[in-house]
Amino acid sequence: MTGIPIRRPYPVLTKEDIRQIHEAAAAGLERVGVQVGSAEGRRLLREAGATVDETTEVAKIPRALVDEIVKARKVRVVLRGRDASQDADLDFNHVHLCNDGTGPLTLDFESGERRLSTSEDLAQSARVSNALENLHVFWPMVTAQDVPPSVRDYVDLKVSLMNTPKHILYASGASGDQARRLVRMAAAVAGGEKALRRRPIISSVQTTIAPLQHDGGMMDAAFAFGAAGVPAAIFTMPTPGASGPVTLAGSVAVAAMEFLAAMVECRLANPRSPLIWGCGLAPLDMRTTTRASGSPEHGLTGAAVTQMAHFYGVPSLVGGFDATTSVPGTQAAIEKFSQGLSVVLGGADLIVGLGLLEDAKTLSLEQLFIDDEMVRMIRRIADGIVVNEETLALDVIEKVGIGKTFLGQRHTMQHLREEQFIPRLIDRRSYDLWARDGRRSLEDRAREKVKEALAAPVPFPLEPDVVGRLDAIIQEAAAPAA
Amino acid sequence: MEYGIKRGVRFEILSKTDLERIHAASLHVLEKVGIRIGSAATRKVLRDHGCVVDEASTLVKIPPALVKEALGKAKRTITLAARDPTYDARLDGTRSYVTANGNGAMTVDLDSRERRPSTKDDLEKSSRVIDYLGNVHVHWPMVSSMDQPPATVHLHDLEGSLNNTVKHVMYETGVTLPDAKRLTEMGYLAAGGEEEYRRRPVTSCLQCTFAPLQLDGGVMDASLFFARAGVPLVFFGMPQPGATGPATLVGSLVVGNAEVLASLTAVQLHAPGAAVIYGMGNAPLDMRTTVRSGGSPEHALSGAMATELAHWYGLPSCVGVSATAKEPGDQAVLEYFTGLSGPLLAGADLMCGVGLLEDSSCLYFEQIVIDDEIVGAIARLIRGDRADEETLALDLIEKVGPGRNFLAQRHTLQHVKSDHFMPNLIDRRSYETWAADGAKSMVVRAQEKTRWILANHEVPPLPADIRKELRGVIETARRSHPDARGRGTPVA
Repeated sequence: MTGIPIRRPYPVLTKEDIRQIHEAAAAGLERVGVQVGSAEGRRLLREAGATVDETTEVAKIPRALVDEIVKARKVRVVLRGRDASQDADLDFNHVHLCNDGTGPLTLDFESGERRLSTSEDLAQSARVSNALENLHVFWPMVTAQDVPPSVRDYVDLKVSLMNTPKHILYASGASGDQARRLVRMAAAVAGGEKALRRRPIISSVQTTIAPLQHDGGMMDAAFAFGAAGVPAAIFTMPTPGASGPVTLAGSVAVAAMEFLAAMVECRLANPRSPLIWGCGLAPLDMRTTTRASGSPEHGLTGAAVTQMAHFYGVPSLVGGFDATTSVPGTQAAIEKFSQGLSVVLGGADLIVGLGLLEDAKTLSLEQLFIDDEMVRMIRRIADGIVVNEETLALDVIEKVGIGKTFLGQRHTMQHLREEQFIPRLIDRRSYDLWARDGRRSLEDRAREKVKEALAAPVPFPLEPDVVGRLDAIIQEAAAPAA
Repeated sequence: MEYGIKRGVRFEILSKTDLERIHAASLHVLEKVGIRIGSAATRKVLRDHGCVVDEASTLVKIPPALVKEALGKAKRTITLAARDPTYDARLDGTRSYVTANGNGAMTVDLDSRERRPSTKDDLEKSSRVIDYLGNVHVHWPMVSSMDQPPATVHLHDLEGSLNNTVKHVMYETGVTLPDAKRLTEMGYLAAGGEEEYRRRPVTSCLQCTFAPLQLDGGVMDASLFFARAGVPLVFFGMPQPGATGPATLVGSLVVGNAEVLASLTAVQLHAPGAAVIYGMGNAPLDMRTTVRSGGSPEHALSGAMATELAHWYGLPSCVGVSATAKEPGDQAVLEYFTGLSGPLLAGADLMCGVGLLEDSSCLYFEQIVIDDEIVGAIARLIRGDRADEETLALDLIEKVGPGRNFLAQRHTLQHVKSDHFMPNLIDRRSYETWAADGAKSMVVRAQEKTRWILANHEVPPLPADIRKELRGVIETARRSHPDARGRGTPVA
């Protein structure tokens, strides 16, 4: 499945801005450094020439080492689906969309009640995602709160694999052991470790802790994924005003320091490991002390980080279509649009965020369809305009002449579909027709789409023996450690 | 004080070659196909300057050199002055301004929720809401005073607006010469005299062309008058791709551009140096519903392209946005956000306008407040960001170090208000706090905000003698037009 082609990315940063941010990040790595919790990470850095203080775990990385890693050529990352037609090729020229993930809460589709998420919610979210034309990668949208914590991460992966043939991006793996178990599950589905390396059907998201800290287990997991050829996104998320400078450029510099340090460690551990720079840089709302996820600043930083990531030769994964509100509606639409617009126009390689509310906490199945409609509209803007003889249509204008209509022209029928966004949820009928037809809101219409999607069969179901192998791995995790 | 939305980053749609091709195609249309002009006075101006005019068919063919000559006379910076100069909209290419949407015929009553014909009271109330809001910069009479005698509706609309906002008032009701004279007279009165008005025009008139390739007689008679009277004009093309223009957006831009260039040419030859803004609102016909697709991505792209074309000509742009939604909610947001963001990212000088639904025909007061919030968010997006020593804050990053926070730093307090969008209507509190506070939706909060504005916001009144004179103009008009007149309601 191809992503959304981007012809002219929206330039949030100038070349000089990019250079300045990189200079600040490189100087910061030398002067301030990053706290590296992984002993393996510290060893790799020390051996490569960094100054490492084992008491404070702070590693100061020399400029030359950063430049050497950054200098390497651009490395595209292909996120493979079980269905090969749904591969997401992060080739620096297309935007791909992914839903939001790991929400502990769900708005019950029948009752509307806000309650803990279950594995059934996860299965449903995957099936609804299958129906979205602009959703290229699946992130387990909720965590199965109905299974014991010891196996929850593995059940989430199993349920996702069973219900969607799309690539699965996965924010889990808090230790090397956990990462290796997740890799075994993916290998069981892909047909072995070699097959998984050739076509990695999962990828991982590893989050750093701002400002300037790498959790030990998180980096050990990243090394384990890298060793198996599973792409890893290093997700940096300083909050401007709290865990980063309030100015967006300053927080982008902090994020760049955290990412560059991780990139150096990962490349030293596995020189060819597929890496993605993930970033969710949303400011602290000082009045409510919440993270302003669906804010214009979050959109701007996503576009800026995309420019920085491409400068470093890696694809970007950024937040988009987030919202702080806990219900679908006007506020959700404004928040999601204000953030999603600039990351799509900015050409982000992978955008995560569709379908959850409350800053990636709460699942709403209808919101998935609403967000998809937004993506479709923004996509049309990103497509832009082609000027040529055919689109100028001077001959048609001359033929139709003054005061007449273009309705019956062949040119009109030929170009309608390519020129016009065809709404799925937006209802453009007149007030009278709309009122006679039940005055349904866009949310009502989204609910109908959800029902249709849930009734559709799951494409590419897993073979029963593969499911059995996954269950066996999960059983191991459930058993008390020997 | 700086007014309007400051621009930083810009999204580009057309290349220089694209612009040249569109311009050349429009010139070809004007020279070979021509344009039908209903105004004899306008045809005379063009004939006197060498155009080929066929009086029987009212067809005028305009040579390219004449268009070029007229463009050379046009004003590059236009200030839409406000009663209070703080709110002057200076269209100089560095800032964007948003107007109210105008001339709706229906209103959904804020209290009874009934959908009914609009009244002068609705007009006055909506003018006060616009006056209060920070992200709507220029006023436009939002609804028509349908409860007033038909011949004077547009005069009541202007009077109600001038009395209830200190912002600039743009209208689109100067569609005959007598209308133009009365509206101009009222503008002169509000400004404190003709001389004062010519220096600081507190009103302006948007004139629509008729696609494909027609200029209405009354509209053009009025426009020639406005141009000499010092009233700034917008010539607003609005071919509908697929119906009154080619289905391709570029093809429709060629048609609309020809219409706007023809109007501008006539006016600049008649009144050299007149203030003319380049306007365009091409929303395609939705073939499935045969409704104009206001707020569609194509509407946004067309506005963005028209802006690029206007700037290439050295003219300020005025482009349209609207929504087909029938009530406030997700659809209205999707349509307004789409429609506003495209042109604003491309640097539109003036966008008209916000607050109406059903493609500019129905007023919901709360939608004005919701749209104000949307514009606020977009304003932050188009300002973009910059990297310098102050914003990069490397010293601060070093001082704070790994694992600590930036909350109490002076740098944080200094920049939070300027660097972060401060919402008015978006509620970012936790679920628990929000639920305990009534679990109010944004639409409900917008209704509450509207009631608060109407109860608390006062607009400095015009002096009593001027108000009396304005009423006198309306009274004279009522007496001279005893018969009811049907009036069309063009849309943005």
